Amino acid sequence: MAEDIFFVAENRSGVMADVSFEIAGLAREIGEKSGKSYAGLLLGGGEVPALAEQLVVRGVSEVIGIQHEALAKYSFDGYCQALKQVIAERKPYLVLFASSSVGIDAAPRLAAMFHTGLASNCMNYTVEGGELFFERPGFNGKLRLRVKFAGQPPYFATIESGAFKQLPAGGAKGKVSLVSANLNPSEFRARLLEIVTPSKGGVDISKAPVVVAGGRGVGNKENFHLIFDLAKALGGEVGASRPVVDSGWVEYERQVGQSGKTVTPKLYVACGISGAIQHLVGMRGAQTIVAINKDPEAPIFNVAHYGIVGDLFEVIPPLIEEIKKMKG
Amino acid sequence: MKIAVCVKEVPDMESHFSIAPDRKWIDESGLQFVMNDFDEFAVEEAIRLKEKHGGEVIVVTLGPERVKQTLRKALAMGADRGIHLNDAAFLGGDAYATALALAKSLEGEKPEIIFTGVQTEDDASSQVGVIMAELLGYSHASVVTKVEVDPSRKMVKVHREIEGGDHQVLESSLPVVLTIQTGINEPRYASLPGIMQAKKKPIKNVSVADLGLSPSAVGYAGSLVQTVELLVPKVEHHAQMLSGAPQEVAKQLVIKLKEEVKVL
Repeated sequence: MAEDIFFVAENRSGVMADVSFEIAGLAREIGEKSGKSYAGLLLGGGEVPALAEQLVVRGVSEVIGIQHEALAKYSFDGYCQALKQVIAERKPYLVLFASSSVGIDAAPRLAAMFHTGLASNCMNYTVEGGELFFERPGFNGKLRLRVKFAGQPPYFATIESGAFKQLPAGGAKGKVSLVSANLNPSEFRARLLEIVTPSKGGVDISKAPVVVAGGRGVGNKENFHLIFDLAKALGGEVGASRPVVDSGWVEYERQVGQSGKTVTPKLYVACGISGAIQHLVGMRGAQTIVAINKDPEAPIFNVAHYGIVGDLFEVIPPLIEEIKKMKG
Repeated sequence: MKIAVCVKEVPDMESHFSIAPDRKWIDESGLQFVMNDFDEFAVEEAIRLKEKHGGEVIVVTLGPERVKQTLRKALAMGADRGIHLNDAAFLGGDAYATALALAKSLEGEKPEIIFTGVQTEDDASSQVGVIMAELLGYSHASVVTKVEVDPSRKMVKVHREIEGGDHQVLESSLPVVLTIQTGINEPRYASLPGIMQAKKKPIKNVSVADLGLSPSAVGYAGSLVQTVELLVPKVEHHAQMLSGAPQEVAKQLVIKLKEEVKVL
């Protein structure tokens, strides 16, 4: 039935990821607006029933558990083949993935198998006259692209973490059905060997009460002392955006964002950071956000509480002085 | 080993962007165009593999005539030859239509590894490489931060970034498409001799007809996801803007930090 909206649930070490409840909430909402039902898809090995329980007790009305030993570890072959079988049988209208390491890896391949479209990294949607539109970021977050699907369902989308509210808790407990997949792991082309945590330099910015973060606007490694000086004056730690870490200006452990740390300090000062969505997901939980950027259109000002449009090299030195004066 | 790298020329992201009158793309007039940041790392990784294992690097792009400068840049870095999908019918395509054209252009080449960047900075769909893998029947790995090839076993071992800063280590058979994350290496600057040599390296122009494709299968016509319009993101949260001379702004902010934020 092209009446279903599926979402593909993800867990992190056995605990359902927040984003799973966000895409569950979105699936239900789009369903309500377009007269369709929704269900969760959950892939895995023996752990599937227990994980499905985490979804249905939170009010997800239906979960289809796809169980196979070969799905206990992620592989694009396993995930795509298993999902292809369920989708071919159930013929959903829309399948939602998280914009995650799974979504980015499996969803484009799966959509290509059906020769249908995938809208990636969606942050907003509308249903107009029965037609679905998504909004997704482009141009380093400076613009949004409003898109629609051409051709026939099933349509696919990956959804940014934090863009939608979680499915509200409560409501009747949903039902779980288990299906198996027809997989031949010996034919899988890629195989997960292990998961490693890259070397830790002993810095942990995730617990710091104040984080002062520098971005590309800091210019070079030598200039970064200014960020360290401001962090020291405020009694905090130094964070950084992805390009800074890629350039080797500071250690990998200081990276804030999707592929780095998530921080929720009392104060976050973003210096020369434009505010790409991948960075924002790692810091928008901060209680107070101060942004210093010379570009008045930088998206960082959309999440900041206090904004300063200016050259960080002119603003930070007097700021350090004033902080020192205030502290006596 | 035959390696292909798919690159895209994008506007400099530091630019101010205005939306074109049809609202479907930006107004490109007056903008500077550069190689997509992710793709520089992909080109570098391909050249390093060639230097280690021998073989050749083919660089492929799709776009108007101006994108030849980006092909020349990759050739100057050390790629051997270029393929330019140079036909107005290719333009305006989504990830699928673009991946179809790129995949068709490499079908006869049969590279053992195809590199792309994780995403382009403009369209940012982060799908093209993975779709190409499906269309060509290749294996794939996305968001790759380390590549080790074992040519004798026809295998590649890669690291890929996952949530929370962890890495998956996986092994894949060849042929494979790898989408490369920024930071995997330090892309080299083209040397002067490199730039001179690049001028003599061959670039093949390819049309829709050359690929045996119908114009309705590529570009905007062949897109499965159509861009309806571009939007300037709504300001969701109005920051309180502090203005004045730097000294003045610093004073204002410190007062806020003490009295409202209470961190001082």
